[in-house]
Amino acid sequence: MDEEGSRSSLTDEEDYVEENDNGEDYEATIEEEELLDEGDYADELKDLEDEGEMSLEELQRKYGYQPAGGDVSEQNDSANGQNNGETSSAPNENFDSTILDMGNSLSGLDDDDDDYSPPDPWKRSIRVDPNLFQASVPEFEVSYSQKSTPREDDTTLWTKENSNQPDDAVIDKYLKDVVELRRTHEQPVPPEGFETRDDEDALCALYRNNFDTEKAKASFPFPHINAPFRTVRPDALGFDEKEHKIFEESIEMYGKDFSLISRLRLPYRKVGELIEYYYQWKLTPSYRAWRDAHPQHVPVVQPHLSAAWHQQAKEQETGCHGPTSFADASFAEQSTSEESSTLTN
Amino acid sequence: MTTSAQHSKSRVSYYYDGDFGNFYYGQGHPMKPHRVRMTHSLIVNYGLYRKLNVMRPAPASFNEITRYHSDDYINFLKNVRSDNISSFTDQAARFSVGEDCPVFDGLYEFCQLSCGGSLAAAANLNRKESDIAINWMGGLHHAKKSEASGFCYSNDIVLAILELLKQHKRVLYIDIDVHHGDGVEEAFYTTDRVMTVSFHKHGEYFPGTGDLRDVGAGLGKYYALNVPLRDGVDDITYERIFRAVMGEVMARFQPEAVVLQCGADSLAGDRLGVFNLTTYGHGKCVEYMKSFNVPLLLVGGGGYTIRNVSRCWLYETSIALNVDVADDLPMHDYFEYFIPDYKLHIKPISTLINYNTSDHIESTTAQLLQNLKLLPHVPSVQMHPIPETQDGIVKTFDQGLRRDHQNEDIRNSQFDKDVAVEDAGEFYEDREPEARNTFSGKRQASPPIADLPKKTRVDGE
Repeated sequence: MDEEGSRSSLTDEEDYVEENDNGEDYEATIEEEELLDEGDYADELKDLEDEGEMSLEELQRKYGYQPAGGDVSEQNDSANGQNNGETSSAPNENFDSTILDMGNSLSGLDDDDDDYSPPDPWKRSIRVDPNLFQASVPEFEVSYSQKSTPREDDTTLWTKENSNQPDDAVIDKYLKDVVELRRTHEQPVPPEGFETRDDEDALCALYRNNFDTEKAKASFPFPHINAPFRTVRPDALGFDEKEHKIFEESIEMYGKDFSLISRLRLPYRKVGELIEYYYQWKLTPSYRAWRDAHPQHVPVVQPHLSAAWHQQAKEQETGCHGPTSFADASFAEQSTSEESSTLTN
Repeated sequence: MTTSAQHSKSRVSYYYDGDFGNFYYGQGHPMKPHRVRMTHSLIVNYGLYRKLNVMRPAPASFNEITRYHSDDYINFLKNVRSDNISSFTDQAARFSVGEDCPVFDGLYEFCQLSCGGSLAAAANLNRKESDIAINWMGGLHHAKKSEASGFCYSNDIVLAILELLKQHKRVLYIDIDVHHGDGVEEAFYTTDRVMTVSFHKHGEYFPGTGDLRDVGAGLGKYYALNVPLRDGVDDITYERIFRAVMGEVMARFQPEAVVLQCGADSLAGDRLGVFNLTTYGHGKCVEYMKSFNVPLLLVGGGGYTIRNVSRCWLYETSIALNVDVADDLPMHDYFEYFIPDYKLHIKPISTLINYNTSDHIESTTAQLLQNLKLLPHVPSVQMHPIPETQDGIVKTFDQGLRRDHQNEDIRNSQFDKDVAVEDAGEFYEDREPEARNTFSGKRQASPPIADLPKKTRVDGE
């Protein structure tokens, strides 16, 4: 029971965290863990078998493993002296112990009951370690000055709380006038009967002109105050016929992998422009025609997505959503072995 | 200008960035930022826009985001792209980025906007410029300090609460997403200045935390409340337990600010959710919390049947404003999505069974009220700084408190749970029916309702 001994001593440290998980030694780790647990739970061979077959990722998940961040405290070193040998050979074993140790340190009880957590794909615990998991709560400031709110770049687009604010009738009249302005400048206008619907740009102009409707109208044309400008180039034009054709072809070929489409087929379009266009396209008869022509459409190429991803996508496309589909256990199980092998190799 | 919300219309600030809808998680991924743009379009076309204070928030800076998150995690989010992820595989695994939380184009900007909105909203409440602040881009409650989870990368809620704590001695967090609000609960698990209350589906469900017995730790013991529910919750059941619990929480904790996460995946017909709430039932929670006239921050969250998400958040915006909205949807950019009825409100799914029996609801409520009794009546006002080192926090854990409650019949403390890891073994065995007696015997005072496998539960009812 040497291992058991060292394990117990590990539990006395509050926060041993392995610093360099370089991903080595996974197999040895699993075996070692099996040995350990076999000593403790001779009657749970089945669980051990399951565990032996698990991938690293599943094991980590199962133990609520949290990788060490950059802020590992140093006090481990002294307390951990006797375990250093084992530490270097079995980093992941130590990770697991660390997590379990937390419980012990908090409870102040020894670890007789506390070193094995059987496989349950769902059960998770909240982890406690102020460095790794908790937020550091700021002090209550008795006087809170505007200065302590570094959000001056927030842009006000419209405000209700203003003594100059005109009533709805005035705003409606103003918005109708703006529709006329837009019409004469051949800008898009709302359909008939909807002239008084809120117009963000017009209202912003009104706000910025201190609710003076004449001044606001004089500032026409209005800037697009909440139009996308990070994901879309400001000078981006609408899609023409040719682009639209390439877009549809690409969707068929690559699915909704807009990054890929942007890279391979429409390099002068930002990804955000494609996404925006996609959602507009979905509203058009042309989309419906395309969809009807491609029932159960599965894109031909999805190079960067894992097989597991494909499978989940397929399940979702076919409308299968069980009670657990968020992070479906079977999905996780099927994917992790594959995923971890690609991640670690 | 009025200074009190009492008997006057609330001053409501609304945070939205027009870029937000142009982020895309990937083919087949249920999380669609586009739903926030749809919500916005409804807000504009329902004429609610002009009743709001509308702000386009500045994207959160690296320094703002790392008030909670670790630098190396956020640096990773900043630098990783879909075309260079192969050189980040170690970190991607470490930070749980990959499957549920894929790397997509503009990921970091997406986080900046989501967090920027909640931070700006919180700062606005701090300045007392409004009674209610809304950020439907936020509510990403699963994100951890150094880990992405459940479609969430950065935890805007934690950041907002940290901001609120500068001006509010106690902040209450409520989570009505169908999934447990684990990220927020974890962040504030050991403080008594933030109380977290989450209503969620529990048992064989993501993220697996949120057990009735999880109540917080250290100074934060009893300042986390979990309301585990079963499939098919309807409006009446939900309102009943919500009011019973939240009424008591408000009385006991007396928060100075409330953050309500309005995850819309608890609505009937959600692509991932299993509850059966209508927009009315969901909105009742907002209505109830608003009635306390405590500064209120509304954030989004889950919600994967996107037309219902935008319905829900539009409706809740109208509740915040105290404005009636017609059930007929106005013409707007995404009108066609609302085929066939083009109505605002949704109906419950009549074929869905509500597995939350009266007994279950009553015993859960009783247990929660019992927990609340253990809360000191209005916690001490001044802050309790969390010690910098782990060594520190372990020393501050209240061993005496733990001992005091050892013999009570509420076996719900974190300590009990930590100690009783053998129970965890039984969680597994419990999946074999013959082992269940041992299990229930151990936890008499607190029936493991939420943990029973679904199969068993159906048999039993």
